[in-house]
Amino acid sequence: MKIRECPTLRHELPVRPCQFPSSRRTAFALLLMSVFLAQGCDEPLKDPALPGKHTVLSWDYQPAPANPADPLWTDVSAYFNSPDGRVTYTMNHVPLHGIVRYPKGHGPFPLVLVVHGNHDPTVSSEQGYIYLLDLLASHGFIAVSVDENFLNGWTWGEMDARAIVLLRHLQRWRTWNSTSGNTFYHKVDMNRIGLAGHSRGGEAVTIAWLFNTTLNSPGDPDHNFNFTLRSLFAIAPVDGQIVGDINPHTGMPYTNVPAVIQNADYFVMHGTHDGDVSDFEGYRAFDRAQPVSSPGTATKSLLWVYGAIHNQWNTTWGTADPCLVNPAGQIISATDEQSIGKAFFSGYFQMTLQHKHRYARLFEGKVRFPSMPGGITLLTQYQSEDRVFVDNYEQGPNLATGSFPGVTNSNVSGLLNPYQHYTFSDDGPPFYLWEQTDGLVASWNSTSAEYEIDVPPTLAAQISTHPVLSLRVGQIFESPAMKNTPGVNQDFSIVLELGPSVVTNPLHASAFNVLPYPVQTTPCPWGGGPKSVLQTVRIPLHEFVEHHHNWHLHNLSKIRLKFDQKPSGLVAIDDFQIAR
Amino acid sequence: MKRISAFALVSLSYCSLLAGFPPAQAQANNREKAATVGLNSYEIVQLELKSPVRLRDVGGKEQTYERAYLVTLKGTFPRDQGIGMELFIGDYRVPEYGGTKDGIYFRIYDEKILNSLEGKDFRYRIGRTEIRSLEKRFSTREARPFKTQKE
Repeated sequence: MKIRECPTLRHELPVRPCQFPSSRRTAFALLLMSVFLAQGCDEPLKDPALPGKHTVLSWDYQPAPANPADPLWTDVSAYFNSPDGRVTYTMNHVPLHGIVRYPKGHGPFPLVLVVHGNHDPTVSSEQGYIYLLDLLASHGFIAVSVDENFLNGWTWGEMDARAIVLLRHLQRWRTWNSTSGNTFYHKVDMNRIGLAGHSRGGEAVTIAWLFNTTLNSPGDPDHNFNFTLRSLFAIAPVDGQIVGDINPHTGMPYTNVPAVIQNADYFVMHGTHDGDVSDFEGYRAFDRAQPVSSPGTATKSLLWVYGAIHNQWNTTWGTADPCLVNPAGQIISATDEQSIGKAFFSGYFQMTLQHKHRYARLFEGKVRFPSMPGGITLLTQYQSEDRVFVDNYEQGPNLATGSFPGVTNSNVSGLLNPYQHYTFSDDGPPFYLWEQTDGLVASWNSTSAEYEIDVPPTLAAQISTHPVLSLRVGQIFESPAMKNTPGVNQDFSIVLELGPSVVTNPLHASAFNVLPYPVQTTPCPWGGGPKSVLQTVRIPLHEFVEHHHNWHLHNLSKIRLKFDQKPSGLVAIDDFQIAR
Repeated sequence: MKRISAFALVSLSYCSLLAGFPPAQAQANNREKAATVGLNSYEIVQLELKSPVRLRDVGGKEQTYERAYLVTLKGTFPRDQGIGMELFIGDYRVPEYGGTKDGIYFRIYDEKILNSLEGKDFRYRIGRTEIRSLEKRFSTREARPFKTQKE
């Protein structure tokens, strides 16, 4: 199905796009408005969490217990051979078991595998995503939840095996798709494959993506991979557990780990109250994905859900995490958490595997759908596949020099203080940034403070093909609060200079996305606590020149951030870019 | 690539021990377990493998092992969680381990590695935290001569 692109996104925003007011009447009005606005253009943008048009069929596959030659048995002992005592399988004979939901019809349909993470191995963790499978299948996907319970428990060093099992499942699907007479003969679109994973499964999908090429060996039936993995979806993932794990093919630790995702879309979602992976490890995978040094070939996006915990993304894992993150009163219900998960899961795979690019607006924070519960703050980050960096701060500590040749930056009149290049990797004071990237930390106590970016004509010339100004920006958590005010959204203005004589009217960041203050959460015994998570603000550049026919964006000479909306503030900024 | 054939290995070795292994515990119990990490005791035995194990050593050279050293730790560790606990002996990072009823186990195939660990501290790291000591040293002295256990 082809959906036309909307010319503008700004008008789809409610006043507070992510924080619905408590008044039921206002909420209802906003709900109606959001439905109307979400549909916006000529063709409606459907709520992705609602069932699609396809009739959903079910299937379960697993090996025949009495047939050791069944190809649904596989051997992962080279990768992991220390199963938990509760596991009844030996690692040279583990099942390829999947729960399948698929659409009635001829297809071919995109294929999405979902895999759970670590949990009690006696619990059927794969059952916990059936709500996602049903939804995805109704939208025209073959959706499979993969059983890796035999790798679960008190285990370590099994990350490679988790990834290998996923690839072995894909081998089966390739065979079924090419076997005449099979139910799935020519029904699977093997050029449109997505992987989703939760917790350790969230890292496993990135490692599967890596092994798909690095361990691919066409002559070895166990390692004949090379699948077209287009789209990865990580739910509260761990990151870096593969580091130090031994590659059985070399006897040495794996190289190129943790994975740096390229040429495949990547998404991560995580909750502020995650009481297991309490250090938001997927943020680092997000930062590494689509590296600034490479041309953009795929999207990356992120969702930070206020009040979400670790286990509630899976319907069989209960409603509490190993560690209770306070304030517990902010924890959202499993129903709400899963409703959010459904919208993003379905929207993401429709966007990345069915070419419904308009769902990008969900990841840009531009739309909310009626199925998504109100009153829950959602921060989103989104980078389109085609971007030109103005400032990504990866070139070293000299803030004056931008990332694009000829770009220079300045702290006008020195009123930003601090104004510093910073590695966003602190997992506590001073800035609680938890990332794996470099950026700018800026603070002001004067509404005259400005960050000015001088851009060369060569950048301005690219605006016609990159019509959106985008940056990641967020309030920094402070202990105690000094520059920011807890509970109060931050804001600033942006103006453009178009040559020597035109200064556009200011646009406010808050018109395009909210910048809420971080939640003050308690740490788990193994780490965690408050996190200053950024939000992408995307501004269609034509909005600066609306109603001024003689103003031309190709004359762009300066981008100015004016910190004139709040008397003081402390923010982190990164990935200033023009983009599609 | 190493090949390990037809074994019940340690998982089966422990089956009898684990007959009474508790099912999924209440989350509240998990929370209590999550709060502490401690090593109470450890044991080292020699495993006679059912079938030889081939694996590459750190130099990339394939070796064949007919025996392994099975190290069993009793204590409190994060259990069934996403976030992982890395286990070290000195600077040696245990590449993989699995769970028992009351702790974790791992195997060391190379006797040179086993000997190099003598007197080193058991240590651990969870997530991004710093490496911490488990306040016990690894030693094979009291375990020698090793008890032998069949796989």
